[in-house]
Order: sequence, then structure tokens, then C-alpha cells
Amino acid sequence: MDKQDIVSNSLFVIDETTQKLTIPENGYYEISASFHFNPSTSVIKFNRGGVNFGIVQIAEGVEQYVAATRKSFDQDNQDQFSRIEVYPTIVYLQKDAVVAPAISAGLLGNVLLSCEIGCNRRNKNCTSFSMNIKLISDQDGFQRYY
Amino acid sequence: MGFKDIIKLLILFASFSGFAQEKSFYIRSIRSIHLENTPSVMQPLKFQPVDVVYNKITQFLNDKITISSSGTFEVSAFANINPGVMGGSSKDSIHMELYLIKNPQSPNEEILGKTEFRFSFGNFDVAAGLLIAPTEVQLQKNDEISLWVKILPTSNIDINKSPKYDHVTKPTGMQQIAGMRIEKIL
Repeated sequence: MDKQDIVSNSLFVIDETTQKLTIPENGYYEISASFHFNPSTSVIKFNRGGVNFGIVQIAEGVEQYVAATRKSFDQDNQDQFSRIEVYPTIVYLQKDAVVAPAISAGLLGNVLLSCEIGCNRRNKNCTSFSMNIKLISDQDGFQRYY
Repeated sequence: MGFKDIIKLLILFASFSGFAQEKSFYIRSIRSIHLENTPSVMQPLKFQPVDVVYNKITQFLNDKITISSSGTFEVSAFANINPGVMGGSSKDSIHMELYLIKNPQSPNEEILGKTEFRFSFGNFDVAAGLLIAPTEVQLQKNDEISLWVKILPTSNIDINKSPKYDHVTKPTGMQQIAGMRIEKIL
């Protein structure tokens, strides 16, 4: 990601040196995201797999998805872009947790050699990735995530 | 044509100081859930009080989530499901639907949201996310909201029939099982 990609920000402290998105205060946050992804594996007949898309938090040395969705790919969608949505998810996050978008392979029939987050050649103005995080309550809380 | 012309990213970060608590409800299961191999039968995905993450607008009593005051709401839900079988040929398929239902099994039952997923050859043992996209609905005080799964009769192979197998489950590499969100808009 690039700092120029930020449309609006009143949550994170971001300056020239910022490398990570660090949660500023304890509270309940609502997170959503959208990915435009192509596994590009058409050369492999009946390829299959499940890929995880979402937002992770990294806190106390542990990285885990706090808002995520699972996409199942098969022979019908292994060589095309799919819009993958992470619908609004509410989680309790603690101050200083780092949040970041992430994609991981849960199960793959074959390796992904040329997969991409992006847009079709004919539709270069699509949004390839978006993410929204909003503090919705500064009430004290606790969450064993999952 | 550079890389940035092709890729557009939109990122929004918002915070409010001294704000009122947002009028929302979010619940997610922290345990996996077994499904029966009974096509056409509606099967509830039950939550427990310990599953509640955030709640300003509902009551959770006796296994029921009910709306505290009437209004306009946005509702959405998901469940990650793995049929847990192999399948024999490329013609095999398993069809499932996920429903978000108001006042289930009562005279004023109403489907608030619904999604269908077709598991195909090769992916019968891979978890897939079934998602109900956010949708705006009118709800009255005391309306009950719940999440259900139905295996469609068009499926031509069985799901895993072991009583020990949980079909609604954590996909490999992520922790999320099933969840539901309700936001009061007006």
C-alpha cells in the first residue's frame, strides 16, 4: 500500500516515517475490506483450493485474522478475477496492535504461479483492494478472538 | 501505463472522539457446528451468549436474539462450510443455502437474507465462505433474528455423515467459523 491511497484518515497517526498501521486506543472497531483477485491457474485442469482474505492484527507476537472470509476456487473461477468481500466485522482491539491486510492459502491443489490482486486488462479503473476501519466504541472490553 | 494506473486502492480510516457508542450487534461462533445430512430441512446455526462481541441493540435470552426497539437495520452474516467428503466424478455437486431469518417457524417468519453455494468436484473437502451481503430491513421490537443452513435436494452426493464431524468450521489458516451483524440505521 501507498500513503497516497488513503482516502480519509482520522484514526491513525501517519507521517513520513510510518511503516505500520498501529491501533491508537483500546476499543471496538468495525472492519471491512474488498479484494479483486485472480488465482491464474487455468493451465491446471480441475485445480482447486481455498484462499483466505482479510485483515490481521499483530499483537504480542501473534498474528491472526480479526476480519476474514474464505474463497473457494474451482475449475469455473480459477482463471478470472473475483470480487471478494469481507463484510463489516466488529472486534475489540487493544492499543498498539498492528493491523494489516493479508491473503493466505488454506488449501491449494497446485501452487499459484501468477496470481494477482488487480484488475482486468479491459477494466483498469476497478478498485483492486479497499479497507475501512472505524472505531465505533471506546468502551472497555475484552475479546478472546476465536 | 504504469502499475498505479492499473491498480487503485481505496482506504478509509475513521475515528471519533467523545462519540456515542454505535448502535450495533455482532456475534460469532467460537465453536464449530455439526450439520445433519438431511436435504430440504432447515438447520439452525445456534449461538451462545459467550459468542457476543458487541451488543447495544438486542437481547440474548434463552438462545434467542431479539431486537430491543423498532427501526431500520442493516443485517449481514456468514458461515464457513466444509462438506468433508471426496466425491466421485466431475458431475457431482452439493448445493447449500444460508439464510438470515426473522421470527423463524412462526406465522410472521420472513427471510431477511439468503445466499446459495455450489460445492463442485475437487472442492467437497475445502471450506467455502457462504456470505449474506449487508441488506437494509425493517424490524420491530421483539423480532427474533437467527441463522440457518439448508442442503438443497439438487445435491447428488451426501455430506460427511460422521456424528463427530463439524461442517461449519474454521477453514485452514483462519479462525472465523460463522457470524452475524445487525446495525441500527434509523
